[in-house]
Amino acid sequence: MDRREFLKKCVVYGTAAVGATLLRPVERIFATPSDTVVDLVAVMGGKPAELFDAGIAALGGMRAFVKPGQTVAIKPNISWSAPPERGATTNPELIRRIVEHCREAGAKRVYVFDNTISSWQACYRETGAEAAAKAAGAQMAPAHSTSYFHKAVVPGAKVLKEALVHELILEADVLINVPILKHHSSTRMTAALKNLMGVVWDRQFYHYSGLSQCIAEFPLLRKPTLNVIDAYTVMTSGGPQGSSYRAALELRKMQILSVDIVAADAAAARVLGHAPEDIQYIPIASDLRLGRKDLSNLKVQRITL
Amino acid sequence: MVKTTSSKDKTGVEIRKRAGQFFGHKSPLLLIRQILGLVVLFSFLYGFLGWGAFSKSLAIYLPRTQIGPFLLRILDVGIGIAAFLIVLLILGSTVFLGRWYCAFLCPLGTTQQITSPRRIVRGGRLFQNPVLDGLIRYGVVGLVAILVIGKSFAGWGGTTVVLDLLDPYGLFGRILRDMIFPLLVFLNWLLFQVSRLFDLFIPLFPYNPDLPVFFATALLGGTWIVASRKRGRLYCGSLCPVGTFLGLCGRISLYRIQIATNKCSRCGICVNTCPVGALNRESSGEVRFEAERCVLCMNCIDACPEEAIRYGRKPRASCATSTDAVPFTPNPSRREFLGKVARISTGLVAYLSLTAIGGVVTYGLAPGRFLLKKRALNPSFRPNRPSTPPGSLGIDRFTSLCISCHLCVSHCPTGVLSPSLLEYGIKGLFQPVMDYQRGFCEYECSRCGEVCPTGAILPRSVEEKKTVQIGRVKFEQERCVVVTQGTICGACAEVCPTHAVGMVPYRNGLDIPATDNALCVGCGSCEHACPVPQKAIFVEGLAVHGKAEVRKPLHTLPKEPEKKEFPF
Repeated sequence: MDRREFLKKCVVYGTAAVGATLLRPVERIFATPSDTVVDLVAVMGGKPAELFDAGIAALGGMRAFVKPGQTVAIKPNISWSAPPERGATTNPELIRRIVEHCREAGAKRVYVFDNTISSWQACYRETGAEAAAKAAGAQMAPAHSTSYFHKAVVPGAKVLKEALVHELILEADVLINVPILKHHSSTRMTAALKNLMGVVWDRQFYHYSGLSQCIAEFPLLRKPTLNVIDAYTVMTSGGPQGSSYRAALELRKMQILSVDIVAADAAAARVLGHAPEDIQYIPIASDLRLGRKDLSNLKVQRITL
Repeated sequence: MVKTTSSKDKTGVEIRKRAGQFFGHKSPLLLIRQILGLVVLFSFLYGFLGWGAFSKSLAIYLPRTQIGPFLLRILDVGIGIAAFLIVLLILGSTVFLGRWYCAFLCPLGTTQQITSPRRIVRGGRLFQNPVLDGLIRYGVVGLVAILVIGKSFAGWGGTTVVLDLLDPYGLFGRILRDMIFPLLVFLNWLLFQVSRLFDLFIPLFPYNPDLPVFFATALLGGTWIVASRKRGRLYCGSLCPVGTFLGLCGRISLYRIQIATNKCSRCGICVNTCPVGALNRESSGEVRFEAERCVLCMNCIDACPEEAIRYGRKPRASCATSTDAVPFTPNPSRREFLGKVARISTGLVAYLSLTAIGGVVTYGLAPGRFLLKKRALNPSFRPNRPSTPPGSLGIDRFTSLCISCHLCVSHCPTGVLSPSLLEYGIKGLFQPVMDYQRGFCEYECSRCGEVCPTGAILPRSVEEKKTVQIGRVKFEQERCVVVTQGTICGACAEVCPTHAVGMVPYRNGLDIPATDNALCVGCGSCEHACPVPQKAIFVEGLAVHGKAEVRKPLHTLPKEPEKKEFPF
């Protein structure tokens, strides 16, 4: 954890603690200080929206992440024109609940976007993301043309030195990364780190120059404020698209929330039955000090509904 | 009293114009023509470039009224009773009413009518010489007939190349999609840039610029629009095969433009008003009317200062002198007879020579044989044979039925269907081709077949279309990133919708693509995604489409989670 990260966390948890004192008796807060300092929250056993309600409460509520008047960018994985049942895209009920929490926390504007792989309008529509986001008061931001992307330098990167990045990544005050956990034919797993590949324009550069390295380096540009991994319906093979005969699904009814993108992915790898080290980009990201992959040393809160 | 205004036009002819009672027009027919023409034109515009279910419905039904697509459709696919009756009605009514189709139903005709000036000198005729004029017009129609109808006989490959290039509907579609649309995209982009200043999101039209196609369309189609600024409906009067064909029916039409010779002051204003050159001045100064050329735009009725022109029933010969409308009756002379003989014989020569050219075009420049390919100019990798859209059954069938209206190109959601230049050889100029550099064929879509008006792309349900193999995947391992760079990739396997491309263990813990052509539909997702400039994985088009196996996912979703423990 670098100094900046530390200060950031101080601010986040400090605000959360102050916010909490307004609601609860002060004694209880100080009586159990470890309750509020959680590195990772894993929730199990409910509908996606219920899981998020429980998970975000354990992290101190959305007000810990979103201040009144801020703009929020939500990046789900809606890259395929597929219905939610296929398990290829982020559950729309989860997107809706996150937007609602952001609005309640006083966000000025909430955007939902993805640089999709299938045709963008079909993806926005068929995944249910558009309907869910609009119903909750968010705006679907387009990301299908290079005009929405701007060149940005990735500080400290060896391979992904610069990238054409979606403007919301550069401009939004808060970035909430909402991937779905799936098997992936290239990287074996896709979750929080891999999901950020959908905010750059030139994905072919990643593939050509070293996929794992580029995926791991991107958060050097910007780390998400919060990562929410949707592991409700988990595709265990035939991913990431899930349209072929190899696709297999498991209903895990789970959700992983963390500020630490590497820790979130390490936990997600365990859900798919991998060691975090088996997924190439997780150790690389950990070495770049983007987060911690050693779950045993983290404060993990497990909630079963 | 009717008010009369007087002014002079560019040619110095005095124009005396009386204010009409129908929004400034003397004839209600002109007003009806203007309104209906615009309604049809804008319906076409929305059908091509609009969005949503309404645009789709317009795109499906509107082009069915067009003669060119009808001709191709009836030859191969056959048509429904409704469409047959509609076209029968169009042709039948032309015998009675004249070429009203050209003024009301033809979008290219209406476009040129709008761009035509009020006064035209030598309008509507490419060649003033009647022999040359007839030669070109009937030559085109004859060539279309021979090449298109002849293709049903004697094992001819057949070609639509002439119809493909000259059919007004196809020409209109290409001008719209390849010329006007890029300009609209530019406007949209400007608007987008302005909207950003106000923190708004105006969605950008997805479009990949294709300059060679833009310029070729501007040259071969846009010329007529530009020319119409000076010479009126030059294309309709001189080259349009549909117009000439309808003119043959319109020649004997019962209702037509009538000039009352007793009222006519021989001022010649109507001659300079007619956009198709149907009104010509005889050496005697009298105005001669050719019903064959007339497109019923009704402009002459409005322009005539003497109100000597009207649209009405042709009088019988017996009462020709008793009415105020005296039709022009040609005086058959020896000279005219010789002219006729000359016209017929030159027409025959034209048929034969143009047929020979058609034969050369058909057989000499088949796909693959033409060297100057657009693809050869592109440094990136291209396979040997292009793919045609699913539902077209194969290259030969597709290229012999497509009219290049680019309606499918306009509706393709990923942009994979794009105008070709020489991928199919000259005989398939502009016909759409699957360009996997631009996109991939969306697995859950079959829009191109739904909208195709000629039946070149047959309609297929999405489920049917998933079984069609338009090409086969080919993997060249030595170019693959996994081999050359030693890093993980699998961009191709990730996007493959059928798992025809999957990953198998390679070495050093890496996985490498493996292909299964039994499952491949030829969508080109893999080729589009492959990060290597000289594509390591690509689709070879099939000359005749095959069948792809469909394997459904076997799993059923468990109701409750099997694992109730946190794995960490």
